Amino acid sequence: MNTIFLALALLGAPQLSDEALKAQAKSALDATKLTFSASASGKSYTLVFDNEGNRKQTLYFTQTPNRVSTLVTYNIYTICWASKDAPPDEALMRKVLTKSKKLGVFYLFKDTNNFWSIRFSVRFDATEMKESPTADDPLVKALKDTIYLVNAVGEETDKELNGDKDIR
Amino acid sequence: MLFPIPPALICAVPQDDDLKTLALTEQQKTLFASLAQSGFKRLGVQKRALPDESYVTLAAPRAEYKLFVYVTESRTALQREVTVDESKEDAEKLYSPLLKSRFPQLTSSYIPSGDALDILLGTGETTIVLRLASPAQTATPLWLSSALEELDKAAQQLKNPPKATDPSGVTPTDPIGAALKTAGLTFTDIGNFYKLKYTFTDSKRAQFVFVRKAIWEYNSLKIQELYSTFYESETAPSAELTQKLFQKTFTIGGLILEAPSESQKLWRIRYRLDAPTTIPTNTLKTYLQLVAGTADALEKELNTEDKL
Repeated sequence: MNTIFLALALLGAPQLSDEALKAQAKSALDATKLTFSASASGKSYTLVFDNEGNRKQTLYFTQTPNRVSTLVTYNIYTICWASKDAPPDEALMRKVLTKSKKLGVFYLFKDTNNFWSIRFSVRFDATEMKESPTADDPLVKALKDTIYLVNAVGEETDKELNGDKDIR
Repeated sequence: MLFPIPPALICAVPQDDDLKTLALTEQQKTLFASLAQSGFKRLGVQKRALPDESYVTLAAPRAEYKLFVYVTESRTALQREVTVDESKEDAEKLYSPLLKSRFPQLTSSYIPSGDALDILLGTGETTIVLRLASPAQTATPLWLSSALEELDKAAQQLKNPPKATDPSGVTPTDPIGAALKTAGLTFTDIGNFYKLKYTFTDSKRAQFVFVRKAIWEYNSLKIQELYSTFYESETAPSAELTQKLFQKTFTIGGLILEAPSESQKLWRIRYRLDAPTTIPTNTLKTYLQLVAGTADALEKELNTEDKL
């Protein structure tokens, strides 16, 4: 039996100064040599992938680190389905939320304008990231492959759920 | 299978025509005579790109494998291929250390200069090439006999690899299982998973956490899943509950809905976290605590009864 004090991923640890971590995360993204830019809101970096059939998939890498226990994580997500005003129905939720991927999970999101979406997300653990990471660092490679995986799952799910309508 | 080569018979075997085109040393001529005497049948001679470089292909006495003899003015090598079922990556992990540990004498005995044993991995079916080499002047019939024996032993090891388990029963191909032991955690092996029980000192509640032994791979990523179930019912969660739960976001990990299947008849919701197989022990402990704590909090939110 393993005895522990309550530790919840649900609750973030108190926010500390994040500026150094933000700079480190940007360096890590730079080291992947992928093209990215700051989103309009400034909350994320966006990466746009060109996929087969002239389809595109936009990925978001949150700029602000999340902390729990000793861990520092970033959310890398993409939108697979979207609807104005109506949430996904029960059948759609079951179809998507039972999908098991090698890494990451699907979740539902409703923004302040009642815009509903199904997102695929990986919480990337960057706790061990070096201050000035390089392309050869295992964690940079892991970050790059995680980004590729989020794109692949997002595009595959988008195509499955929306057919020719390409959620970008 | 070992094919002893009686030294007394070697010199009596004449050179065949096909070998006359090759610039062989006296030692190499003797080796081919020895092989013929032992029942190896030459299938062909191939000149290579370099002027003095040649390959001779032979069938073993009962045609159970092919033997390749590589000759140059300064070097003689015996080579034999073994095809194994594993993927290239798995074969490299499994057999490289095995061969290196079981046949260390190859390097010191036969090849003062280096590469006694090559493991060459191709694509598709994985072919492992066992190669023993020696300077041409020292490739004596005795060396040939020992080399054949070594190749045969190594080939047998490839065909019947020992079970890769340590006394704890944790396989090296299951790094997080090994890390659980290193971390000193109490766990139960339940087949495809390890099961850990966490008890919370404040609430006196408990939560089971499972570690999936299978490794998921994607490019450079190698991951094992850690999870804990917090919803389990014969009835599916309502749309309202599903919507509420799956809008929750987590600092790390997330939720997955599991429908009934052939192997289990219940609807389940799990909190899961993907751990890299290289995870440091302390981080693994933190991950497991997060899984237990988060799943228990979710279970408590749904139902005050502590079932899972």
